[in-house]
Amino acid sequence: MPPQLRLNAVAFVSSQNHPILIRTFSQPKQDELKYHYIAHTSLDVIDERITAAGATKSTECYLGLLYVEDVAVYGYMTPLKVKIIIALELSDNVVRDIDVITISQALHTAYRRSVANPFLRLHAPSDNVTDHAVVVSAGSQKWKLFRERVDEICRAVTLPAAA
Amino acid sequence: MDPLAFASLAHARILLLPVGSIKRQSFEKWAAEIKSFDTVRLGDIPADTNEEKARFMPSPLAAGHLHLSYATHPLPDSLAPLSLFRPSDFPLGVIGVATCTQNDSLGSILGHFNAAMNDLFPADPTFPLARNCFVFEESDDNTNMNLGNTLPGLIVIPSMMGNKKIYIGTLLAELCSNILGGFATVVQALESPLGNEYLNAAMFPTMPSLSDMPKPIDPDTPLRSSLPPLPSYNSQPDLAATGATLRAKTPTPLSLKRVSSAGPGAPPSPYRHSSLPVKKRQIAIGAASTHGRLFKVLGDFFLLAGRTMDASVWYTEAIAMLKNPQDTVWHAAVLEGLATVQVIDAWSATQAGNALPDEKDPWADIADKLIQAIALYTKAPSVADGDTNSPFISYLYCRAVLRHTSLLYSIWSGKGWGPLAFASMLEYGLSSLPPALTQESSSSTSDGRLSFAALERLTSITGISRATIAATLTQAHGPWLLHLGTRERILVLEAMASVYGALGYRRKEAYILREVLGCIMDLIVCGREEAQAGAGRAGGTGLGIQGVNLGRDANRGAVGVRENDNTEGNQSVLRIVKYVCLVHGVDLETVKIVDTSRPVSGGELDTSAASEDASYELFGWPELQIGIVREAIAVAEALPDYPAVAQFSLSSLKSLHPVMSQGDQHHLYNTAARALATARRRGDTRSVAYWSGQPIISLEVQPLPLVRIPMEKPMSMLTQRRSDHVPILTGMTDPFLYNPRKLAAAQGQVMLVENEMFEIIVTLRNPYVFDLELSSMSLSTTGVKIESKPIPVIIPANSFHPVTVTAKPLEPGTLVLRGCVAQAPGGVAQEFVLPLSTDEEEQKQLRRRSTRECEVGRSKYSGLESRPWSKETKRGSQVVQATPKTVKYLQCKVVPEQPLLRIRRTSLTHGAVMLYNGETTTIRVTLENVSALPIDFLRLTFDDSTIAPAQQALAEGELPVFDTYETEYSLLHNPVFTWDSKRNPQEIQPGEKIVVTINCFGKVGCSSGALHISYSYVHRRQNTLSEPQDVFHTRQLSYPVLVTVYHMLECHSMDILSYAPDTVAELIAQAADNDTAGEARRALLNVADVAEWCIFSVDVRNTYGLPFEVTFERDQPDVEKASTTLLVPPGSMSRVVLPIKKFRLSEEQVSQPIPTLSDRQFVVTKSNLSSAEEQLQRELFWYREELFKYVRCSWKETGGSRSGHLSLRKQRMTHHMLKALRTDETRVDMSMYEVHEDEPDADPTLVECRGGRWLPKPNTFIYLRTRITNLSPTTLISTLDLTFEPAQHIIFEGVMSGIPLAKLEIGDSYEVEMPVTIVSSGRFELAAQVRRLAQPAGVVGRGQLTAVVEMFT
Repeated sequence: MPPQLRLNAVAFVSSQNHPILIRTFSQPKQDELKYHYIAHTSLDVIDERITAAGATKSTECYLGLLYVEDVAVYGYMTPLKVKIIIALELSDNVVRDIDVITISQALHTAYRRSVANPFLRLHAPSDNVTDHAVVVSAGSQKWKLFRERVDEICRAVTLPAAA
Repeated sequence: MDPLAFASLAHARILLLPVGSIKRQSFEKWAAEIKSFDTVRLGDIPADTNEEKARFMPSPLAAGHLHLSYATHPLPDSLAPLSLFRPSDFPLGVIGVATCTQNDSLGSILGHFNAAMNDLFPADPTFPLARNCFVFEESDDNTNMNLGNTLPGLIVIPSMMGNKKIYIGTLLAELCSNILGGFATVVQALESPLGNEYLNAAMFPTMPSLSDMPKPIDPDTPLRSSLPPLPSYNSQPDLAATGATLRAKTPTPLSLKRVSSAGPGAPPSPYRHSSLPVKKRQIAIGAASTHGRLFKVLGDFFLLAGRTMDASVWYTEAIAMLKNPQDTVWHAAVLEGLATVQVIDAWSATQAGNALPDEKDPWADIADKLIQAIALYTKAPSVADGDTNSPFISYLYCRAVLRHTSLLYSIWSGKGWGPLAFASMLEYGLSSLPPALTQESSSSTSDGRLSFAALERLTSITGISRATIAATLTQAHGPWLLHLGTRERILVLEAMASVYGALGYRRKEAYILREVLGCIMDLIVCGREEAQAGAGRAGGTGLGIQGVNLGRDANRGAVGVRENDNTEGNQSVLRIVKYVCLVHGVDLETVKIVDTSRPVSGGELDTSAASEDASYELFGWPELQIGIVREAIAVAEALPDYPAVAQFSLSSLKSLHPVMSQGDQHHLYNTAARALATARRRGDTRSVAYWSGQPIISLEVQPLPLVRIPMEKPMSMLTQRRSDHVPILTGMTDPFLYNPRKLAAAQGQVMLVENEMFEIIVTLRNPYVFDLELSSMSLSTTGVKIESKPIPVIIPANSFHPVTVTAKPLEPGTLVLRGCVAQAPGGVAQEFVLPLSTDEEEQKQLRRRSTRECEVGRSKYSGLESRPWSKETKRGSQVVQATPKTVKYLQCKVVPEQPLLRIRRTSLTHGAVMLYNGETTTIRVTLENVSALPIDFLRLTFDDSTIAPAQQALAEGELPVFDTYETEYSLLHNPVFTWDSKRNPQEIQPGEKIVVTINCFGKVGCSSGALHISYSYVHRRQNTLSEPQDVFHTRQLSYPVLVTVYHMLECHSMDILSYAPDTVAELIAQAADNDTAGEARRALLNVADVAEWCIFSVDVRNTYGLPFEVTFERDQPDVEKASTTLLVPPGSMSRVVLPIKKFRLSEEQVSQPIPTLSDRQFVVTKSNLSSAEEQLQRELFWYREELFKYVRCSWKETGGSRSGHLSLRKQRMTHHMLKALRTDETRVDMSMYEVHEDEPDADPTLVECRGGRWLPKPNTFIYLRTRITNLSPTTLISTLDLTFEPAQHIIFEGVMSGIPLAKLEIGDSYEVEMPVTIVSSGRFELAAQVRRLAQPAGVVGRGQLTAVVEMFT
């Protein structure tokens, strides 16, 4: 039984640092912008980690705890450089890396499955078909399955806590 | 030195104060001079003789340093409660800096100084402890200042003094000595039981007030008038004793320390002795209050005095005492002090040249202390003293966190635990970057930041990761910041931002900077409210933050009183705003601000950059960007800086409009418009440049109306008046079907005329969701001067909008249309050039675009390096721009003023003419010259609907030669319109009218035509010096004519018959029906010599509804004229018969090929006829031509006046006809003579001949005479063959064939006689054949004779 985790927000950021999807799960919904900023500022640390990882030729996706402010921010980067940023509520429990990695991998799978949707390309501008535009469009309002998957993961993470 | 330096606890702060009317410049100069002393050697400080004050004084040989830091702002009042807790934050000394001029006396300067001091500090402050005023003599002539030294507290530094620096150093040392003395007095006060009570009374105690303290006994000691000297002789004996012991004891350890100061490590054991009196005293004071705090204050003062040994001793004592009663805050402060002591010791060690101990992490101990301190601050019972203490605790907490950060950061940036790190810890705070970093960064990145690699290298050297530093720093950021006073909060946030920035955490930096901005804006708004309330606070100086203006530019009251704006602070705030936006990927300066008061330098716009705007790549985080932009605009509005508001909103509109909602776009646009209007109203000379990208899509010169287009013709055309060249046939003179040059020439320059309006269509684009307004748009041209008015334009939302601009060239020459000058409302006009897109340019653009597109998806540069503007500089595959760019613009040629002609009236009704086929009529056109220039050149050309098909048929070249000729003939000799240039006038004076007569010929198939009247003013008055032009320009006037041609008479089946007896009889029989006409015709048919004539006949059919009279006329040389006329009723056909005398054309004429009338090239003979056939064809052609010359036919309307010409040209000639028409080469006449038997000597007589038949008698001698006449144009040598049929009944003498004939000259004749006898009755055919002997061999003449013999009559 993993310790109880509370997932406050999840952010997917593309390889070129465009936001793909940012979902917040904290109860007062008003500070959605705050998580935008958290995701944005954590890119600083991610940049650093990437450089450090590049120096050691590490292929580890999990970037570890990025920083702690009023939430604990964890980072994960897919091989295609999509960054998954997870904001966990601070608690006295020990957060094990393996749990965060599990969550990240689940999120990664959700993302991968959504990007594999062939209809994403349908609405991409035809003259400038780069993968990047397609990837970013995966999180747009039109595609709700991706959001549902992410919400599902969040529920799965927090449900044991509720039970 | 920075207030936030790590070692700030050891810095004695000195306030530099401008006094009197000192200029800012000179103040800064002298202040810099003073500031150059950041340390004072302890040995240099003069010792005070007063024993009371000597407590903190160094011994004369002390090796340490006193660290100084300078401030130009006093600490805000709000922090006053910390005065005893944190003395290092307070100005311990004050130096007034003044200059003396002739106007000021020293007395007044002193007065100013004192007044300023009173103004700045409360009536009863603990600090400053010492003060002095330096008066710098500015010029040599101030001799009246000699008395200066007499005034106390005022030191005049004469300008002629050589080494001011040494002098100032001495003065500073003196001041330090005073400060140290001051420490002693303060401590004295605190050592009293009352003082100690005060010290322990609250968490942040104050000095005992004056009234509580006993009066001083010694009046000479006061350092300053406002603060009464603290008692040196204490009236309270019990504490005095302990105090005395303290005083007595301290010099001993000090002296000990000096001896053993070489060891900077752990404090040696002898110092433990110093704790002895403490224990003693603790007993004396009692348990009510410990001396922990007092010892901490002592430690602080020793630290400030540069005596680290003593400081650490007292600190250690303090810790021991503070631990037990849990005075957490003071405990933490002691820990901080200890940490500082260690750093100072390490620094002194390096200063002394000692090697550092080789430890793993030497700073770990310090860091531990600081971490402990931070933890203690967090635990501080802020509620204990009510809420009043929480700001201070928060402040101290943040300072501790920053100190820790500073430690880590300095070590990190100083590449490890070494002198560099110490120096930066001692001297530099967090808000200013240490020089080591900035030096290095100059080579790494352009914006003064380190590259990632450099940052990482620092990490690997020091073993401190950036994340560690950042994590430490993050502790300072939290809700407790709200407890801080605004100024402190700004200070803390600023420091945080700069550290984040230096670490390369730029997004975090931007995030913190936003909070800084929030604080600053709070202050501005507050300050403005205060100002409005009439408090009139001078603001600005009180704030320790660079570049903040405390709302001095607020409007006061309802009356529009406006102070002179000081915008310097605004600029700094805006700089922060822009930086924050840049980090988020929004460039707020894409739209430039231009100062309209200065003339705009006509810089060449980079068109390639403008065109690249189209493919502007979006970067970043739209949600955040829009929020950030809103904030930026709100800041600019609050300042208020209206041009900046406009700049920001327009820039963000420009770069973010693809992701903005409609409402946002509207809002931003309106905000910008409002801000610009306000700025203008307030007389701001700045304005924004035109912002909305390249608005012009295309530029097109509207061609002039057809009648106004001038056409360029070479002058040489005038000289060759009549050329053989027939333009009408040359529909296409070009030998090439596709001629690219021709196409290019057609595209070429547009012709415009001087002083005549022309129109240009400009297509504008608006990519936004609102209607874009351009307050003015005008043409940007070079070359010829033009007259054009700028026009306001509103481009509808999201659309392309064509606008027509009219202009008038004022002189001849070349007009270059570069583009347009557009101006947004309230903005500055900007030129947009639109070069012609040449192929090369297009290709280059294409290549560039594809390169960019190729790179668009690549994420080689991640993070902030992939912002569009930083990417641009790094693009790997730069397109080589080596070729000099020749930009071509749309060019127009402006020709000199031209006359203008118009058609006043014509003789046609409704522009239509109705004709019978072959009829000719005239059209009169009245022309009027409506210009002020005369016309001296007039040409008419025509076009009709028959020309083009004919020309096309000719051009295709598929026609046989004969048809080609016919088509050409029709084009050339029977044009629909003709005009005689000789008979019509050529010159038209201004305002004059002339009439031009044009002939119109009815030609079947013609349905429409056009008159083109070209005119010009060629022979202009020229300057004698100017070279005559080799071209002139014509204008053309066209008048379309609707032509209807009725087809009524047709000719059919032309035939030519020889004058055989039966044909004539037949013809006569035909004509015998009516009398008079028949008679006439019969008479016509009667010809003298039948052999010389032939009969021309043709059928004429009338397909029209009216009868026509047709007349055929014969006009042959050597023959009298004859004509025949007959009436052709509607729908019927009549045959016309006309005798024609045979003729023969010369051989040369006939052998000529069928000519082509045009000079078309490459007419390849398609026929593959044999030469004989070709010869025949030529003969047919030439004889036909000749025939049509002789026979003319015309028609006349019966009972009407209309007449015309009937064409025979459709009729073909056959070989048979040719034979009938052509005279033979030889004429062979055969005749018979008989000799009567009864009189044989008589001349033979002609045999009776009747009806073309000879009637000789049988069995008689008959002479057959054959007469051969040479009619051919050459000499003829030939033989004669005779044949008789039936030959068996004719007896003859001689040979029948090969009878030689004499050589016959032209026209000569020769007779051959042969006696024959016919021995039977019957019909005999005698024939003769002349055969040419020379080449070409062949029969050249035939003769025939028919004899009918009747035996029994």
